[in-house]
Amino acid sequence: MELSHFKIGHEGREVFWNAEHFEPFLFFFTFIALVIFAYGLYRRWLIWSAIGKAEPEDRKSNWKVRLKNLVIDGLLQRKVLQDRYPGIMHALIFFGFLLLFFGAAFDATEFHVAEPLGFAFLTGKFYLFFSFLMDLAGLAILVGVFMALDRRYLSKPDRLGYRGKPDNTPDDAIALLLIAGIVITGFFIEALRIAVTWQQTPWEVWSFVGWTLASALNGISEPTARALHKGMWWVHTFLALGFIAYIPFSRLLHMITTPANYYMATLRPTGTIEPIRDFENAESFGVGTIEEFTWKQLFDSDACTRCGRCQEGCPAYLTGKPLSPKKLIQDIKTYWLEKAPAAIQAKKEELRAKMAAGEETDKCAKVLAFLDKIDQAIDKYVPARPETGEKALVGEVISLDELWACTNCMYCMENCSAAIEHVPKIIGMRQYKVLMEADFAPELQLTYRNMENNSNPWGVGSHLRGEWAKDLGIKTLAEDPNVEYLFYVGCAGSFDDRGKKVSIAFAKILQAAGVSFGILGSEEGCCGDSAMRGGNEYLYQSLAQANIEVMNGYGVKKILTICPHGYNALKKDYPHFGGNYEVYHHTEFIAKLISERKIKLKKSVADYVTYHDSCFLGRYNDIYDEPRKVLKAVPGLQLLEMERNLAKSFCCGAGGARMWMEEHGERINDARAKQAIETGAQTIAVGCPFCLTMMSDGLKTHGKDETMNALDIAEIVWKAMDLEEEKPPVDVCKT
Amino acid sequence: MNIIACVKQVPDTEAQIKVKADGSGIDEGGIKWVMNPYDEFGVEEALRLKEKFGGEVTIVCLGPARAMETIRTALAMGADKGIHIDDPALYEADSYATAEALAAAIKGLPYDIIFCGQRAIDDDSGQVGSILAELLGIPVVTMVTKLEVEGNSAKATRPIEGAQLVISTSLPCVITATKGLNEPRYASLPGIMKAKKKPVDIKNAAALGVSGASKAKVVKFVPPPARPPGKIICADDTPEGKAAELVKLLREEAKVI
Amino acid sequence: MAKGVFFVAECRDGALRKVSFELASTARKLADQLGDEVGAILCGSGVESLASELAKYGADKVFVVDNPALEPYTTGAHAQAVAQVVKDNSPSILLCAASAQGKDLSAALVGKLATGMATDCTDLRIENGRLVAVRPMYAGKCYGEVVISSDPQMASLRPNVFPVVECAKAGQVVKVDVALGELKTKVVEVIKDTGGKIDVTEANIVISGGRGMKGPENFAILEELAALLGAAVGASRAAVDAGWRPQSDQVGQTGKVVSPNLYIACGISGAIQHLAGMSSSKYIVAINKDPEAPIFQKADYGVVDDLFKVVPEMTKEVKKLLG
Repeated sequence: MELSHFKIGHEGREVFWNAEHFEPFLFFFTFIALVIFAYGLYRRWLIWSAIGKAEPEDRKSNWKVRLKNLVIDGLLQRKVLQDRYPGIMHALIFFGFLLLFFGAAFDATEFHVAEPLGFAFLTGKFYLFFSFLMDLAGLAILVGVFMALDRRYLSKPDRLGYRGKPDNTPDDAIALLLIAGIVITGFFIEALRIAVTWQQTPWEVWSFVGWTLASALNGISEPTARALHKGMWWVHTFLALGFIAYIPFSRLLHMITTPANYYMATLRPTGTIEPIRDFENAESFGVGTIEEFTWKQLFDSDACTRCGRCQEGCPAYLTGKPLSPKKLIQDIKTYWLEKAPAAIQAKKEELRAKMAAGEETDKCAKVLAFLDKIDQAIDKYVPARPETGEKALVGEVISLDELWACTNCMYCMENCSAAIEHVPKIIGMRQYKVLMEADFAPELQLTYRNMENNSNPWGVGSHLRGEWAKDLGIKTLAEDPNVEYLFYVGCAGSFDDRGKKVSIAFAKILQAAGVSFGILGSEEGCCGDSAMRGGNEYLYQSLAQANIEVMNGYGVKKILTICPHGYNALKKDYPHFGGNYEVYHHTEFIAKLISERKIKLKKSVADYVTYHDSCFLGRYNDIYDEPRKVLKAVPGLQLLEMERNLAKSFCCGAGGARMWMEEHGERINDARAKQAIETGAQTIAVGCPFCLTMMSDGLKTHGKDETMNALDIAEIVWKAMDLEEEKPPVDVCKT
Repeated sequence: MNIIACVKQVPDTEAQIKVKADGSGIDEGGIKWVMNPYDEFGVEEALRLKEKFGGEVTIVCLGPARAMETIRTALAMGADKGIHIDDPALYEADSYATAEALAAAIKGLPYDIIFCGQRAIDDDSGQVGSILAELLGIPVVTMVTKLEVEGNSAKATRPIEGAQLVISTSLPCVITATKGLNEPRYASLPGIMKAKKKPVDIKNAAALGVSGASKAKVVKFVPPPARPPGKIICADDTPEGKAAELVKLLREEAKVI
Repeated sequence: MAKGVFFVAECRDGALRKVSFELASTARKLADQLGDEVGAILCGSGVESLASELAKYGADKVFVVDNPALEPYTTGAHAQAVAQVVKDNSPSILLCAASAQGKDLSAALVGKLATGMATDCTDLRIENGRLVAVRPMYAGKCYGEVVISSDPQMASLRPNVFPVVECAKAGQVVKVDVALGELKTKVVEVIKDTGGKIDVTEANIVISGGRGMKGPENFAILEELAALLGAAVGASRAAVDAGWRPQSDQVGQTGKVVSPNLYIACGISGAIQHLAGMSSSKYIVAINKDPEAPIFQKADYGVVDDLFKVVPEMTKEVKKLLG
């Protein structure tokens, strides 16, 4: 045995110790593993791109921002770490692996580049630190894997399943055991090496795990150790190479797809839906078949790790509806894998027909050759699945109850650690049901007819829209277009008796603050948010265009709203159709008035208040602070937070056109009201007229309407301004 | 099966109806026009029959140019073609003159069933379907809430006070539709797009050989007596007194019980 | 020259309906103004004995068309019979009831007689010897004054609007034989509404209960009143959500949209989602303890009191009324 040139002061180790002649074999097997890996990934890519449509959204430009997303959320695991236990669990495995990966790269560089060139660097203090770090990384991975095994097989949180049933697959166990196996065999190789060489290399104590393990192997003979080492070396190698080859065929694929998905994540404002552009010439609308998803939408489902973060805060799921965002994404994935062969056959036939007709023969031939490749790939790659017969994407793969249970609350998307875009898929499928099949809930049909005929969901005569303001001395833009702000009131603020009180309170605040504003009166129309989120893009666009025409006609530049739905639509969706305005939600604006000392809050009006974050204000528009600031400015007001708040707030149940639909089973608003009641607050403050209705109803359900109330922030502020005497209740029969 | 559905364009139920100052009519400004809801039941039933038996649904509509929207709405629901009777001479037509024009437009067409709404929610006359049947010499069943067609006859259910009559009729016939017959469908977007290309014949009074001369004329439109503001019934402030007063008012003032 | 004010009496199950007397009284009044005779047209099977009742309310003549084919009522047979009498006597005015049967018959008569008619009139007067009929249009959002240039000038009268005034006349019975042609329609079945459940969308009167009902058992008081009035019992979303009433009875945006003649809301505050389902009702009654409840804004008649006291009292009153 040759003597090592390493010594104290020049610590290090031989990279291929006891495996001197294995190197060519290692290269060979590595090559094979990499080929399998690349092949698998390529096949997968072929399927995504063959089944899905072209992606209309730009997913490439602005690479700096995209890279930043990739680094922060992919590499630095920001989103993953937001969730404590699973975050730490994943980080231990992820960072451990990353370190070991770089360690292996260092080893390889040392052996193949640095040493031959005579500037070996894995020596001395650096080597000791390196050894320590590598063992630490290995240990971290093992801890992470055990946490994961505990989570998946012992503690079994609901989110790793569906309604109490774990959705574990053999793949989950294989992946974890592979990881653990690689690390454990690695430690054993190290320990066996140390068991043989420890006397010459006392510094190996820095490889503390290997050293400890070697101590346990005390007394093992050198030949046994060497033989065991060789064997273990190959086991380790095959596990590691197997791991690489296994990636594209398993949940490990997320190592590639999830970061890629971060890179491609939408850069548009939260909740933006790609508008349908050409109603006249489009042949179909929405997503009715798997092929009508874009390739990116299919890709999304391959980035999903079934971590269940989405499910954990989904208001539909938590109130017993069949919808789970995770299940939805997984069902889509299972389905496209099933449909892959047939979908590609269909495409090929279409191309052949085109060629036969003599259209674009060259192009078709090229695509056909390409598809043949995919076909072969599918034969080899997609595991044969039982023939399940034709299933409709919408109605069977995704049940209608699932589809319509979504409140578009954006919890899933905001909390997804893989940048999956659930809501646009749901809206796409709703568009199919509404626009193509006109098959949807009768109560929603009534709502849409009402919006068509009277531009409000209740069908109240549109000429009555400005009635709420008639005794307040508020001018319409028709009467005076030279105002700074348009107060876009919205349907609830115009027609709902409860909502009107909010409009009146806000209008009075504006008047007291001397803000120059006007309303559109009967020229105002429904913002269309419910139509759009309920899949009726056609109706939505006609409503949006009508509003834009009126507002642009008056040269409107700045808009105030009291409804987050109108706020969101006007601010983020109307620009698609030429409506570009500076839009403020009333909570933002009141916060501004307070900070500019334009209004003074003098009177104490409520002691304990909890604030319910509206989804379209919070998650959609990041307005979390302003409403709280306003509330805290009210004298004597104590703000109590619900457990689910801010970005993890729980929807009231009204979004995504759910306001207009019957809800069966436990109602989302009742669940939310219960959470509010549990804070011990007397008042639920809201910033949305629909939340207001939902919370008021929820309080009634729980029999709390006598002791608690739900108020809009504008109402609280107006009362606190103390400029109006409260009218005592009138006894109608006594006067 | 050849089915004809007659439709009328009317102001939306929630529309504000303002009588012109001189009482000569109503002010049409700001009115949202829709298909008469009762006619919509007829169109829906026609489409259901077509789906069951095959054939064609033709929409016949009398009205000014804007009424074309209503024809397109019916075509978007799935009807095949339309006839638009558009002539200023007919805009003020009474029920009889309207029925004459419709009959003239329908006479040359093959038909097994003609649907009308039981009344239009603007003039609320409820006569056209019956007059049309008379002019075409075919039977009519009005206010139908249920219809079963079998071979050359149909069974129609019609409510009267306190009972439902099941009436059998030979075909062809006129059926006037009322609430309960069906739930009209929501038009699909491809339906709306296709409707724009479906054929609609525009005919005037001369082409139909009618004059539009009306026998019944609304000589004056008057706003309704202002609905009294809601009354809070106090009576002697006892539940008994209030209940008695309420029942009395419902009986004698509102005449609803 | 057309002369005489005629009306078509309506009978069912061998008895004249009340609206027939309203028609008779109104015809009498118009005839007196015109100095004309009142002719009643009575069609049916075995109805001759009813003629005297019509005389009591002002019929000078009663034209009786007695034919087994006229029972039960069919549009074709009755229209032929009445048209025959009208053609034989050329009255200047012909009045019908705007009841379910009367509306059907009168519309067919317009076709047969090639004349004009004012439907569902609430007032009639004579100006310059011609009839001026006042009738609601656009669901009562405006009224039209109608004149008819042809004879007979037809008008159908909204039931329960015109007063019944006794004014005995000779009531000379004139029997008319009408050869009824082939009838293309026939009544094959009469399904009596047996006080069974009436669908809220089809009922003329709907009595709904909300959260204020406090429990499912309390709907019994609404059902008792509903049975008397032939009304359907509806519910607000709150009552349905609480599981007190079936979903099919829910009135509102996400339930059924109803437009009865009378809607009685008991213990319903009147959130917009409920109003969207019933605000087109002709008359709205609200019974609620809370004077601030928004439902009172929409109500024609409001009672601010405990519904558990008011509703049973109403039931008693209605019982008295119906004898």
